[in-house]
Amino acid sequence: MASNNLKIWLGLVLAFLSVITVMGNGGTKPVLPSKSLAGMVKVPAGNYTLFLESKGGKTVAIKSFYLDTRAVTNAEFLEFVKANPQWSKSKISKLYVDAGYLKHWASDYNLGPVEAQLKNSPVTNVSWYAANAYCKWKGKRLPSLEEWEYVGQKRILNDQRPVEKIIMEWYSKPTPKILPPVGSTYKNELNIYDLHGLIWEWVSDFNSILMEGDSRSNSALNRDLFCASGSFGTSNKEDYAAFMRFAFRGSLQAKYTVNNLGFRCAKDLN
Amino acid sequence: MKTILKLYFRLLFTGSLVSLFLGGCTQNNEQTEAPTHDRELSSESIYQFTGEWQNQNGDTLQLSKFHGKIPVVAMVFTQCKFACTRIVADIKNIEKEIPKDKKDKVVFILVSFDSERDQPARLKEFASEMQLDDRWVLLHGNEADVRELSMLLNVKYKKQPNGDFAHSNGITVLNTQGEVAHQHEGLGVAPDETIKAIKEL
Repeated sequence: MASNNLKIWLGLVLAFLSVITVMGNGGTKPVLPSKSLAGMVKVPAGNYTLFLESKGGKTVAIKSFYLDTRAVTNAEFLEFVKANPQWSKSKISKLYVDAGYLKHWASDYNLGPVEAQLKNSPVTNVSWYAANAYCKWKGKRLPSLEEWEYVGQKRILNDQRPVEKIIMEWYSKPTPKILPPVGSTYKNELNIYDLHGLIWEWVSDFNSILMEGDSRSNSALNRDLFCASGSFGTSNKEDYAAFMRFAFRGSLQAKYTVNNLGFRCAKDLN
Repeated sequence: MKTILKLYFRLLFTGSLVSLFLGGCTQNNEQTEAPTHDRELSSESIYQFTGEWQNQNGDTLQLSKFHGKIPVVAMVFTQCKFACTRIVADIKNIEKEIPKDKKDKVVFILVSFDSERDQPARLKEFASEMQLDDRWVLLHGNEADVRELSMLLNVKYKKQPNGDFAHSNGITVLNTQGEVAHQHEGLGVAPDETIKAIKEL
């Protein structure tokens, strides 16, 4: 009898605990697999010259933050999908991705026959929502456009050519069927890899570029689309590569997936 | 016989304990896998988004609260000198034309870009300045949730160094499922198309 009483107690305690767990995990709170900053570097605070700026030379202060040294790989993204099946190819909601989501994977949890080559290459064919959800799950966030550009302007260590030249050569090559592994292209002075030359990368606020489809027209209607934006010039008209990045971002929508567009995550200092 | 019965009850009891425990686990999994409480939501419903918001009265809510309603949604910030007042005026023009049989269903939602300055108390002030009745819901959210909602509503915006926001102007109508039913961009757009869309819902 005494043992039965004990069981009742145990049962109640277990039931209570599981209710607490359910409550604790409710909502969108990220599950933190690890709090470590492995694979990240601290980016020092500094100034970034706005690329899209009519008056030129205007800078914004960037606060110090952590950034992944490499883009997220297929293998890493597979871990996320396994832990969050609602992000698998078959279960994903149409709200969050277009038809190309993870189209280079064989199935929900399988990279297919080229797995060995694919696992360390950057994950692409992921939407902004997917990238955002991955970073949240890691207890991180996507870098902002300004943070990304700030780091993208840092000096490249293992190549003597100017950044623009390296980028232009990359642009001129077609995207290979299987992307090279992360960490295989250029490293900058902060020990951050592949910012140029491997993939395009999502940023948290890519939709902050208020350019119109046809920016030559200047009708009253077009002015009405935007509040306080004015017209855009650029700080460095020679920087064709940056033009390309901004134009590309301006053409995206959050559910788009592209075969050379991936991401890396950032994190606040505290 | 007695022992068998005893054993039977014991098994039954342990079984229920196990199921209690497992039940807890299963529920737990469901919660982490699909935080959306409405599993019957359509795959294009923006009510799948579980971000939390505070309205002008300080109450916390999720957008799925508007399930079954017809929300007319715009994003603004209350210190906006020009476009935001005009967008409120545009929505008021829509409000005037809403057919009688839809009046109970339509709600007007203004979501603020300005997570820092547009706290619920400021939103309440703005509502009274603009003479918005209680069919209007003004929402405050954190920066990440505001950004995600802007993606869902196809609104572009950028915070300016002075704390103001440059943004595109659009009005979105959601159907009762929370799917985007109609959207228009720009200011001073005649309400006709929007009203037509609402009538069809």
